[in-house]
Amino acid sequence: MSWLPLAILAAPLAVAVFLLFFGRRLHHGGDGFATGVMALCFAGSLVVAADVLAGGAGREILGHSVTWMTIGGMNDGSSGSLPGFVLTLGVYLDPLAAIMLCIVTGLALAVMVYTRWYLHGDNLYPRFWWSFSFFCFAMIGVVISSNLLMSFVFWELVGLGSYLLIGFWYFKPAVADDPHYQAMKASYATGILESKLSPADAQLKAFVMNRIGDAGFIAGIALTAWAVIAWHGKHGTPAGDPLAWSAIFKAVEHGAFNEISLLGLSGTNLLTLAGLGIFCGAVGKSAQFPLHTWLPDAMQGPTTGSAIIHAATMVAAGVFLVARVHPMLTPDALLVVACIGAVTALLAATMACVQWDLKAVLAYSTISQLGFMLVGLGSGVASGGYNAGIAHLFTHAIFKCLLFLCAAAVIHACHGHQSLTRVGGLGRKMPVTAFAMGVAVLAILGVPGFSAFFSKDAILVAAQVAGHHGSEHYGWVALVPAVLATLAAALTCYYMARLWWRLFVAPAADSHVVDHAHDPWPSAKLVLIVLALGCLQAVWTLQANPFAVEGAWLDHVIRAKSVGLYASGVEVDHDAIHHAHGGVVSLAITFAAVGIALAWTVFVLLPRRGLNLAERCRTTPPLSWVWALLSRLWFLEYVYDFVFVRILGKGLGRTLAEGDLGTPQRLAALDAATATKKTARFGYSLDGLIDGVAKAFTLPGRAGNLLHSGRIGTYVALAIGVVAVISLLRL
Amino acid sequence: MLTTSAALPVWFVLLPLLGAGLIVLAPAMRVRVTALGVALATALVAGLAAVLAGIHGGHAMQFETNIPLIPAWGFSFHLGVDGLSAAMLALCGVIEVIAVLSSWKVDKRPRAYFALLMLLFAGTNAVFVSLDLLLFYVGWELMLIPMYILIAVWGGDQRRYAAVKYVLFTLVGSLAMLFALILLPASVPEEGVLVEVDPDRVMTEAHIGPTSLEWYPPSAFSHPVVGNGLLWVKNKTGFPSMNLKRNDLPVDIYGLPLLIERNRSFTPVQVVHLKLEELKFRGRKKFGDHPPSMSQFAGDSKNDNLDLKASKFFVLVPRDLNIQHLQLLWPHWAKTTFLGVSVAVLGFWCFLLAFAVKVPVIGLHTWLPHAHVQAPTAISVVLAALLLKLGVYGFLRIAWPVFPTAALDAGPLIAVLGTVAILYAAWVALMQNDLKRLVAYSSVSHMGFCLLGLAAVNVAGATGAVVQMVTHGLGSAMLFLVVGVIYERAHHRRVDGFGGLAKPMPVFAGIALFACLASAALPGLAGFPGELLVFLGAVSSTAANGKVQILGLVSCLGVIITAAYLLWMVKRVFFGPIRHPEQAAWPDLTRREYACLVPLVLLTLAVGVWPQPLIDSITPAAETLVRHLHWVAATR
Repeated sequence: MSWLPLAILAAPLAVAVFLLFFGRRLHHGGDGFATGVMALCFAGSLVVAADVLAGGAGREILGHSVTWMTIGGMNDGSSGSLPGFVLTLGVYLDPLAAIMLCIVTGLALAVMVYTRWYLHGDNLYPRFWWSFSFFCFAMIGVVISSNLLMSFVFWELVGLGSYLLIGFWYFKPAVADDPHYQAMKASYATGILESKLSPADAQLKAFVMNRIGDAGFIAGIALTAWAVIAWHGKHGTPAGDPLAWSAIFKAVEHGAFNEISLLGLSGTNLLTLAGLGIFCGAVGKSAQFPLHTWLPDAMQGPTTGSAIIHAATMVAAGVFLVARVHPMLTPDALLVVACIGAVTALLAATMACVQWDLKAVLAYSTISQLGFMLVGLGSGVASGGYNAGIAHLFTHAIFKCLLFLCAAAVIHACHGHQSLTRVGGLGRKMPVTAFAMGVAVLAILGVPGFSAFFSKDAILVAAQVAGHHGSEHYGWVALVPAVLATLAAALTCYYMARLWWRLFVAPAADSHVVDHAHDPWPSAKLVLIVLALGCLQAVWTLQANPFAVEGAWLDHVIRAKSVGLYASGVEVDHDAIHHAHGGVVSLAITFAAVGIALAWTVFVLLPRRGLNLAERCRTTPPLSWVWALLSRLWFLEYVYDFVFVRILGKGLGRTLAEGDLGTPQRLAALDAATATKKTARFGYSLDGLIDGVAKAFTLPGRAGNLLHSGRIGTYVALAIGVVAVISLLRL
Repeated sequence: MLTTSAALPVWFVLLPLLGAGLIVLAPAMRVRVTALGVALATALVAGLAAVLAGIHGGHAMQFETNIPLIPAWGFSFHLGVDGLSAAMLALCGVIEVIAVLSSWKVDKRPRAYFALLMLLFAGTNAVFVSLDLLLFYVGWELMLIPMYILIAVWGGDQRRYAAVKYVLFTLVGSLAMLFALILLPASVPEEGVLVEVDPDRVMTEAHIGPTSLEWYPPSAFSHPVVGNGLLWVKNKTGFPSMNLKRNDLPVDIYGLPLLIERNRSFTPVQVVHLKLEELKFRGRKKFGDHPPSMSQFAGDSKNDNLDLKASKFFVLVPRDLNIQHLQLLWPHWAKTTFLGVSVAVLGFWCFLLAFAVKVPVIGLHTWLPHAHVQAPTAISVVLAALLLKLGVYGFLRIAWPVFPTAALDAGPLIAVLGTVAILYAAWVALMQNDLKRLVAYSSVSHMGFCLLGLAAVNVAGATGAVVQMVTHGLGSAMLFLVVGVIYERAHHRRVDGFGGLAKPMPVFAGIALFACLASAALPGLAGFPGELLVFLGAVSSTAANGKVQILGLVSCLGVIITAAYLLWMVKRVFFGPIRHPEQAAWPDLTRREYACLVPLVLLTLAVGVWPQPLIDSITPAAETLVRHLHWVAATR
């Protein structure tokens, strides 16, 4: 069956290429065709996954790998010799990749079915299908990749898919100039730079911010490749593909990094550096602090596209990558991963609490949840965090996709309105949507019986365990992830409950906005219900009792895997996990109950009594300061815009440009220069300097010109002078 | 080897030259068609030569033509193609056709225009295939003058200024090259110099033939000879020979008879058994295996006394202008001085200056934005896609191999210049409002990768540098054509004078985005393999105690700025609402514009998805260069 993963990879690409050229001529842009192919891909993924999982612990499918590049080397035995190496493209499917493959294709299928309803009638409808199919191709490539380079290749391609879909409505102006947006925008959206928010801006921002992470990623790749190749060079073995997972882990295990040094670093420190370089890529792609600001802007794309790209799978690719390279992350690197994840989880949760834009709440919630996953992965294998992070990656993909699809239904029903201040009371009008979204909210809250109860609580447990373990070595820093993540979990319960109460129960401010609201098409409703089933805990544990999460099948396959291949000798610390579990579970249930109740009180009960508590908090001084900070997104947008765009980008760019070729005045003078205006050409720039030097060379010529003036007197004086000099010399 | 194919490089140079004459004679209506025909014929020759050279293995010179012209100077009409030039040949073929196509609308004196264009091609082509230093110089100068006239006559408003600037910059470099051209033969004694040759080079590049051996005592040489004298491995049947048989030995290298230092226990009568398949060259196809070690060459007979592993190879290099001979003379350059300065250093810096202006290396680059802005579209295409490559090609063909010691010493500096170019030029490009100037700075930035790859002194880096040359040729040509398409409609190139062009011109916007993504090294498109190899090469470099490695890591930041300036430009020009109502009615691409852009799009995709054929062609040449440098570093 080794051809099947390749077929699953190639089919969406073929669809994308076909629809790119012929989509406009097909009925409905070929949506049925694309959906059908994706259904086949999903079926194929199930077969592949069954094959991988049935093989028991640690079974992998290694498809044929193709040699993409062969690079010659120097193996002359000298100390600087590097063996040649190859770079390959191949398939590597372990349980992690197999389950992820099913989730990607399954959700893509769901989103496609749903989009046929959501985007019908849009002028650009055909464009969605080829760009989305292209995205699916790239995403599948990331999942089944057999080496670091291939991951990077498809990593960039998903970035392109995301770029294309964020800019789906590329012709829209910045929202500051968009009367449509201004009429419907959410109140108090003070942190957004409206003059710089449009699909075109957002796609640029997304691509460039991802590239910031990717710069670190490719540096990490290069460091890793160097270490592995040099190690092979020293031991006289052919390097093969130095970036294949197995080759990297083998070399790392054998201390490849101990034999090289750079910048005074070697061994573990250099390995940490390489690991963190690769992690930079994940920070960008998974929108982690400090590179998180592109994701909320990315909501400019079609909501259904965002559902899978900017919520369920693409942004989770960063987490997936961290899970993949986990064996090469040193304890130092893992602590950084966990801390970044925890800071992001809390930061994004605080911002989500004050957002009034429906999709913005979900975007910040996504960032926050991705932070949770990294906390899990950063807690390491021994604390069970590795499994928990991966499990949360899967469960989150389902419920976050569902949340976005429900949001799409709401936005569609309310004619594009997505402000929580205007939309409301939709529960009666959209019962299926309300139900599905309710299930998803319960799932993200971690209510027993729903999926995140299994995964998110395990992350909190793992963070605690890892914190206790690590505090001997790292001191209080090791406890940071556990504390911040727990706080973030509490906030999550509040803002997600707030979202649901506000949308479906609390009355709408503008009743005409919701007058004609209704549930989507039956096919779309079916998608919502199926995904809602995926939010149940039982799906992931196969156990009726929600509290008996030990021995869940998902946990089982991942754990078997993680012990089998990766960190040899690392045992999961079951006692510590058990010890921490009870406390965390009771805490989590308390959070959920309090969050739901608090949100209900503030947004349903009190407004009915005529008390707008949220508004009062916003205006009363001590709390209003907090509100101002959070609603302005911790001022990060302003700071980034000022430091990176204005100063480093435009300011420094302009200074360098003027220092290089000259000021605009000089260039204009050059354009308009005639013989009379030559002086305008010079200036304090490199080019002006060179012109000045060139001009200096004309001075001797001018001096010579004077001698050939054509005036008889000059010549006579010259002749006398020369004769005088000669005669003087002869004396 | 086919004798007819030996004529390929000759035709590659002569066709455009003859074409120029043909255009002068052609009827006025047929000028463009003639030019296109000549360009197509040249492209065919180039493609054939590139493919055949690639198939034969690019480590050694193929299709050599060597006709002595002025024997007293050692000047000959000496052309040849190896893997390095093969890649450039392919690029020339494509770009020259596209340059003619994109000049179709030149109405001002078309006959003169196309004739000059052909002369320009002749000069460029000559540089890429010449193996004689003087011929190289002639080609170098030959392309200068047509380029000057093409910019000065057919350019924009400020064309004279730009053209004079271009010529002055290039002339300063040319003058330095001319000086070195005179200096080098002048510092070789008339009877030639006896130098040691890298045994590896002998194994990979020497001709092999049935031999007899003659012993020459030290007294036979006017040079000091190591050991007990030298063995002249003589060819029995004439020299050089390509007939490969058993019991053969390396006979000559680059047309120079090989001498082997006499091993004490050696008796000339004994027959040496050699495994020819192994000796011939390290099969690039079998690359995964270890290259056969020298001990395997020593033969399978136990009585064999000629231990090649312990032998040293020498050649007597005459005073001539053969570039390959000059490479062998590196120990001599290091020992000889001119006015107290080592010829190695002096020669290296002269050539470096000449080539650095063309690359252009940062600091010597300010002619480029002017020339690009003023030149017509097709000339910009040729300038960016071919002429800039001549600089790096000069590094790879002359500056590095002929003066390896000086080049190794200058390595860190070159790496710094490359890294600075990558970041600085990208940063400058960020704030350019003129589209052509923006693309011009992107060229400077991308050529920085070539310098960095070269300074890494490993195969990945050197291969990456050459791949980057080819892919930048494709990418920059596309970008300039894209600007040309806009310019033809708007008659200006100000970024702020456009907006929302994707609406009236969706296909064009797609291709422009494609070109920018290729330039920003999106995987799957041509820009990626080159940059990747340069990063891998630089970071794994052992040159200069890890300095190059750090610069490699720093240069990774370039991917951010590159994406920023290109995609920001795309955003401002193509996306957002239409800002100038008259642009809403612009037609999408015309057929001629399709004909220019689509081949480049396909090639970009092909190289990006499957770079192996290109790399296969380049790697042997890169290996030869890097092996040379390593050997020099080890023996200097």
